[in-house]
Amino acid sequence: MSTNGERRPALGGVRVPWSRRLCETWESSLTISFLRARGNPDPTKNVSPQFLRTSIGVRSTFLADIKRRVAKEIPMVHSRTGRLHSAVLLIASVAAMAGAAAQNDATPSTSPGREAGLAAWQQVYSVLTHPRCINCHTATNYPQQGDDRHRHLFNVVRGPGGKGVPGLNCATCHQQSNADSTGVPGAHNWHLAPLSMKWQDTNDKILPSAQVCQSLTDRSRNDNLDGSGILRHHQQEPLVLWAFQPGRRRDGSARSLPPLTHDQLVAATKTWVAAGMPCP
Amino acid sequence: METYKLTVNGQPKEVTVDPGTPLLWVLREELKMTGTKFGCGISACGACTVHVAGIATRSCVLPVSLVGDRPVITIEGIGQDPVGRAVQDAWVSEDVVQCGYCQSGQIMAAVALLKSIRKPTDTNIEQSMGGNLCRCGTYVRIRKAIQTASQKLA
Repeated sequence: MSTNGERRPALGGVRVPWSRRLCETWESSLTISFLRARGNPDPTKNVSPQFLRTSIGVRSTFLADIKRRVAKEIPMVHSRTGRLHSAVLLIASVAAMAGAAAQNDATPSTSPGREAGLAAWQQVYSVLTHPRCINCHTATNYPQQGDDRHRHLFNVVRGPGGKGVPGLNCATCHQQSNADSTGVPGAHNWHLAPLSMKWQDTNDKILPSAQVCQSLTDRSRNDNLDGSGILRHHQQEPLVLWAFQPGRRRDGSARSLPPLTHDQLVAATKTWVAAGMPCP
Repeated sequence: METYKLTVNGQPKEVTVDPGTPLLWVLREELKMTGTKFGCGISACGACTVHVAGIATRSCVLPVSLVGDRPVITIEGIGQDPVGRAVQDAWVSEDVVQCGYCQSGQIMAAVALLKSIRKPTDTNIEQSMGGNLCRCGTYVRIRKAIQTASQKLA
């Protein structure tokens, strides 16, 4: 019995007021440690609900783990010496795990800065404005062809959905894959990008880097894609993949490739997105 | 050489050709269906137009290896379709044809247009038919015949 008559139950999952106060103290310290490890210099301010939920969630997990370990390894004790011993062990466990958590948290929280993001964007821009990509991101009623980006021959027009018109669809010639024997490129769902995603002006002149970046990041114009959506588009969209395997012309010559490989484009996009998609 | 099983005008066909052989030559030389014409070989003129899975397709640039199990309809079989029949009748009533070489492709493209837009405007007609060339210049009669067929189908 305590001096105030309060019952002092033992460890092992049973409520222990003295140890609980110790845990609560370490809860606060642990919260502060986590938040500082995540790059927040003043955890008492500018803490978003997401950060708090993340921190509390992790902290609770750690705390439960510590309690389980103490209950498993330290038998029920009633002596003051035993409780002190348990507390020291608890403190050591919490400190060790907080240190490990801070270490783990420090590594993934490093995001590329604006400069790195802008450099990555320039790499992405170099691909987007290559003929294999920009020939279908026009501002006009027609697509373009070839490395010289001339107007597509044969009176081909955009059509209401960017897939041509009845009787003269994109699919009239372009199949699900390249037709190297006849020189016609192909990929799944061959079509023009919508006018909202134009990267040229109406005179077929390529837009500056800043404008293309703004177009790409404007969710009212880019089919409501956020950063992860843009990354996924660069990773998986068949027409994007086609640009890196564009097939051969009728004379057997290979079409030119973008300045980056697909893997490099994805890596640059990741860096740019991680940096917050900065625009020049 | 590989063997391909095709469905042409509702009939099963089997051919053994090089995978890169354009469908146009499979139709003309292997299946002896010469209604579909060779005009340019580079999908520029439309004389080779057939329907593949309902889509007007330039058979001169479609390798037979990419046809798959999609049904193929040629000028020989388009009359089995109500829209195709209406277009053929309109072509006759409006006396569209001059030399006739491009007309197979013209009819196939017109049928694709009317199947998608039952009452096309002149702009619709010009855009959809703009890829089919006629050296005889029968464009005015072609447009009139499409309007006639459209009215008949209404």
